[in-house]
Amino acid sequence: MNVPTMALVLSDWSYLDTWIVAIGALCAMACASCGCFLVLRRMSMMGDAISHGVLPGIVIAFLVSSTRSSTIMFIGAALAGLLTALASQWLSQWLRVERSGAIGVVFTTLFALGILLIVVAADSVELDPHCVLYGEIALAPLDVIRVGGIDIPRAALSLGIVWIVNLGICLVLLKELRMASFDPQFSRSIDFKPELLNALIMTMVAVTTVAAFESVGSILVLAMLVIPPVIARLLSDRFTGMLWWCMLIGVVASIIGHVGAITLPRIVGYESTNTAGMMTVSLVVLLALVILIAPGPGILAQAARRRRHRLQVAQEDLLGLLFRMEEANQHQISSGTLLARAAEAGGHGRAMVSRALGKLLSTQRIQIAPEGVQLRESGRREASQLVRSHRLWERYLSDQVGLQDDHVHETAMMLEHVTSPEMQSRLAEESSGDRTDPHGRPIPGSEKD
Amino acid sequence: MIAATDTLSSDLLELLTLSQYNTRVVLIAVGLLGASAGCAGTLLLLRKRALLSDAMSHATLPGLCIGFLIAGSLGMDARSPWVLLPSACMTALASLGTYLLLLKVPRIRPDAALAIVLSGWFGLGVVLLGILQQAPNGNAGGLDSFIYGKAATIRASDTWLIAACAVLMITTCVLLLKELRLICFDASFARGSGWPVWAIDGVSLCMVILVTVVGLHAVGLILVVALLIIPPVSARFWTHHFGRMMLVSAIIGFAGAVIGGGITSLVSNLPSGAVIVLVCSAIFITSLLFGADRGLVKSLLTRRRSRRKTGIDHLLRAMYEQSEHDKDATVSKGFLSGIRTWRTPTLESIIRLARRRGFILQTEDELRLTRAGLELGRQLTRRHRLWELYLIHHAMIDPTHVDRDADDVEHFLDASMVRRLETLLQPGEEPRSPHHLEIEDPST
Repeated sequence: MNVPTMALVLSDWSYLDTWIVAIGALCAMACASCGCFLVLRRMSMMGDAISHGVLPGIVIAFLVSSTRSSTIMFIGAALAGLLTALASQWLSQWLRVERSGAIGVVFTTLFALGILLIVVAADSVELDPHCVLYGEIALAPLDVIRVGGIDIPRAALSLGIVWIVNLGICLVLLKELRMASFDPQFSRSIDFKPELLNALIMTMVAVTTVAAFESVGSILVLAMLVIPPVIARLLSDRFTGMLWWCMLIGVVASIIGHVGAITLPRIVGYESTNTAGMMTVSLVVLLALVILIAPGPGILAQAARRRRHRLQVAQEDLLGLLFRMEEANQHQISSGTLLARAAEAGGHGRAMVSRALGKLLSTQRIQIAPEGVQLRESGRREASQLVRSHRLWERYLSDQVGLQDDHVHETAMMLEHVTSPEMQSRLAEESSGDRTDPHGRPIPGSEKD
Repeated sequence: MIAATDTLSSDLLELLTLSQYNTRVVLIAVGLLGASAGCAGTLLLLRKRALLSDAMSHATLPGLCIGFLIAGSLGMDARSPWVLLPSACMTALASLGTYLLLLKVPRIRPDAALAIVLSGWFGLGVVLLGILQQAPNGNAGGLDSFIYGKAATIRASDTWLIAACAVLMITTCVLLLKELRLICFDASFARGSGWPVWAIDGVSLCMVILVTVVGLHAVGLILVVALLIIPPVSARFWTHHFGRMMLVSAIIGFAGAVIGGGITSLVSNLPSGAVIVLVCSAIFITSLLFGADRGLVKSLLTRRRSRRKTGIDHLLRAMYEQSEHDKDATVSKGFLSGIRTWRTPTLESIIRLARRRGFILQTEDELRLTRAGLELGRQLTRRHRLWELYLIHHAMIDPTHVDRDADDVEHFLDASMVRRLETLLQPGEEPRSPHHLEIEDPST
């Protein structure tokens, strides 16, 4: 890796690079704000279909108007996008074509038509098939228009407008869209048309795809539509939270994408690569990162939760074991024997029970006396409640569920760790005063006794 | 102009007689490809995974770029299929793996996982393509034919490769027909009876990847999915039988690919992928309209036939019920439009049909049943009343509510059904309309 060269490249940063980042960020934010609905309504592949399906609309509008900045292009493409969505819906509803098959037929047909038109009308359409694949974000800042004395790239302007409109629609129709996305049945039942909103979302997706076409092309736009909302969904449970996360992710991905595109290829001795492609890759990297470290559903968080839970279970098993040994008047047990027995009885690893023992010692629930490991007062209280839950469950499983007496222990072993005090008192009511478990051992009294 | 037409017709002649070696090679290759894509696509469609193949085909782009780089650095011909296709296979498989992994992440739904896989791998491909365009070992232009398809660049060695793949796949399909059918229609039953479903699934997905990769040359990675989806979707309009569907789908794929390939070899500079897909789409639209199993025309005809039959049935029954009161009664149109909600044109067309079939006679405004009409009317009325009786006795429906239900059902009751319903009657008894049952005098 050649860090000085990379730094040198970054020192060449010009206003064009800033505009590229801005366009990328606007594009990602505009796409993500309508992509949220695609993701929430499980229609992500409809986004793919629409982004492919608008291609003939774009090309025909090009042929008709022979400019890029026309509203005709937006109208034509929005119609084509809507047609894709509706045609695939009709195919699956009326002609019983399998849903993904219907989508596949419609968008490949329209896309093929678009490609054919581009090639046939190559002279009058200044679009090349590569633009369809990944856009021309590097050229976008060169095509400027003057707004109020400042040169603004046309792409930035149109994407900015689309972004603001999308965000505006999201915020104004927040309640309706949220309801239609999370509970279409309910919204239909209160005579509120989810189909109409569906059409609105499809139109938003189509228009956004057209605005994004020059920057990221027809295919990479799918990444901008879907990946930010997916990441945001992992980070937030609320719709508005998702929306703001999407915006942040769009900006971050755009910066990383462009910097990566102009620096990373240096490592292997090339100049630079496509910014839109690199933005997609950085979105995927962000997604992988979030899957790893997201607080709730992230892999690390889950692993930590599982580990904490296992440690808790191991501690409780140790306490229960000590309590039972006290009951049987076996007061002399070395920590080694205790660990071995606990590991065997609870199916824990040796390392896990040792950690649990350390934790019990440090929280003063047990002590190691010269004659062996002993419960201290707080530990004994906790242990007696555990054993109480365990034996109440055995009583219940035997009496009410009708399990064989020699089959209740394993189930009770699992349930004792998740029994709340309320549950315990209900179980005590169910056992109707019986003070022993099915094996004849006494059930310890409750905390209040 | 005349000269141009002449060249075109002589080109066409050349094409049709397959006299040119190159054309022959290309058409055989795309035809076999289309047929095998039709087979593999049937499995894909019936397993509801049509769009998974879209993601996998897009994921071949980074593979192609990597293969291109490797071949270049090894000093081989960078466009050699022996390097490009295996590496394309690898990334397609890797994309399948990513998809399966993403499915395990909480809160990521299958559709979003598919979109992430498709765009993510394609994005990586775009990054590599951007680098390749500056590669010293020649332009990346060779990759273009893999992206949009360029059937004309197919060489004899490619044809052998495609032919080998096609034979392999069609043999696999025939040999595993039973197993494939089983997992397509009832995967959980197959799992329950101990079939290795994942292995059979794996075989079908491998076939899909194989078709995708060998199809890159002819159709391109963006549109090869169409060759997998459109033929089976079209075939579904012709038949509902698994084996026949696979056959029809293979034929459609073959025809679409050959016709499309032929057109591109006639007209220069057309992207063959797009043309092949559009020909397949045309076949799809034809199937949608005229398909023998679910085609639009056929279902409209069926619906019309049943609507006509229902109309005539109702007319005859209404007239028969009138003749029960008076043997020689004639019925006026005004009376008929009064007892049902027929609009005048509908009533007119029903009367015309019934007259043409010899069920009624018309004199001016008066209608009378013929002997055949009388008999049919009697049977219909009998069925109607039997069903009313059944609803009253067994479904516990109030006699005032049974008429409409019986209206719908009377047309479909066959002889065996009528025999079973007759057990409701005493021997020799005829069913009577429940609406004329005497109302009990409350005083008794």
